[in-house]
Amino acid sequence: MREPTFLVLTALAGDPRHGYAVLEDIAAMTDGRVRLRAGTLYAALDRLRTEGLIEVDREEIVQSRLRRYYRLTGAGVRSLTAETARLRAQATIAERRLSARWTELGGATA
Amino acid sequence: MTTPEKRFRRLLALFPREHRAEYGEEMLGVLLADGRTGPGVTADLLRAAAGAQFRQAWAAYRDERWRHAAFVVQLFGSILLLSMAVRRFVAVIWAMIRWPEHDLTGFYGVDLVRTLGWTVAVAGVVLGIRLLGVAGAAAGLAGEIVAPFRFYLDTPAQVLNAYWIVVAAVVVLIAATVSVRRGVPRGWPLVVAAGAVLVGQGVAPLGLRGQLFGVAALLALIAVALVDPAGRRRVVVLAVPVLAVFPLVRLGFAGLVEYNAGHPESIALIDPLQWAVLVVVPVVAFVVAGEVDRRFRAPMAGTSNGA
Repeated sequence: MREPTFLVLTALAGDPRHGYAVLEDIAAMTDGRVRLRAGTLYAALDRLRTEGLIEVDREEIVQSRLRRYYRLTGAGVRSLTAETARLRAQATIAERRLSARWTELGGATA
Repeated sequence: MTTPEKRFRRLLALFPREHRAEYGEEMLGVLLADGRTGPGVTADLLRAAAGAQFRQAWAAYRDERWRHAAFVVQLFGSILLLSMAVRRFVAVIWAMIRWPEHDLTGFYGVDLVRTLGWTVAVAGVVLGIRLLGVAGAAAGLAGEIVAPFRFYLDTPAQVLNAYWIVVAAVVVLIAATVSVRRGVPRGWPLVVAAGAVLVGQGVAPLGLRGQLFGVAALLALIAVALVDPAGRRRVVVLAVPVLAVFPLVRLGFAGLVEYNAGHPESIALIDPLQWAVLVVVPVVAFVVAGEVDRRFRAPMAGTSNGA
C-alpha cells in the first residue's frame, strides 16, 4: 500500500471526514511532511471507493458547494489493520537491529 | 467567478466526464479551501487527470464484452488472413508450375511459414486452445512482416502496400491473447465464403481480382453486421487501426511511392519519423475510436469508472 493510500485510510479510521478535512488531518498527522493535493486525494478516494475500502457517509451543501463525507467500510478496516500490522512488524525489526547495532558499538552512535 | 476558480475549472475539464460528474464540484471546493494555486497544483491536477483517463480506458477494455468482441476479431481475422496466405501460397505454386526455371524457394519458405501459422491460429480459435491461437498468430505475423521486407531495399512500396496486413495480424495476435469465447458468431459462414473468394482471387484473371477482393470485403462486412450490436461496435473499434492504414499510406506516403517510381536509381527508404507515424497512427486511431465508442455507453454508477 502506498503512503498516500495508507494516510487517507488512517484519516478516515476515526470519524467520517470530507475531502478538505482529510487533507488537513494528513498534514497534522505527519507534522506537515505530507500535504496531499486535491488531484492526488481524489484519485485515491476514487480508487478506494472502487475497491470497496471506503464509502460515502453523507452529503451536505455548504456555501452552494457539495461536501461529501467518507468513511471506512469493513473491508477498509481489515485492509488498514493488515497494513498497520505489516508496518509495525517491519518497524519492530528495524528497531531491534538498530538497537543491536547500538549495543555492539558500546553505546556510541554509528 | 474568481481567477483561481476559472483556472481550476479549466483543469478539471481534463478529467473524464464521469469523474467530473462525480467529484468535480467537490474537488473545486477542496482546491479553493486549500488555497494553494502554484504550478505544483497544476501539475498534480494534470497528473491526476491523465491517470483518471487511463484508468477509465483500461477499465473499459477489461470489460468482458471487449473480450467477447476480441474473440470475433480473432476468429474472423484468422480465417481471412489464412485465406490470404493460402491465396499467395497457391499463386506461388502456380508460378512454380508455370515457370519451373525460376528459383522460387525463398517465396516458398516464407509463404509456407505464414500459411502454417494462420492454419494453426484458426485451429486454435476453433478448438478453443488459446496457446495454439496465440502461437499460430505470432508465426503468421512473423511471416507477414518478413514477406514484404525481403523487397524493402528495392521497393519500399511493397512494405507500405502490405502494411495493413501486418497491422491486421498484430490486432489478431492481441485479440488471441485476451479473447473469451461466448458462442460462435452468426456471420462465420460468410467469413468462410469471403475467404474462399480470396483464395480464388489468387488464380483469377488479373481483370477480375479487384472485383473479387470487393466481393470478399462485402461478405466480411455483412458478417460483422450480423454480430450483436454491442459486440459489433467493439469489433469495428478493433478494426479501426487496420482501416486507418489505407488513408495513411495513400495520403502520407504517395510522394515517396511516386518518387521511387520515377527514380529507380536512387530509391528513397522510409525514414525514422515515417516509421514512427506508421506505428503511432493505428494506435491513436484505436484510442480515438475506443473513446468515441465509450462516450456512447452509460457510465457505471457509484464511481467514475465507466465500463
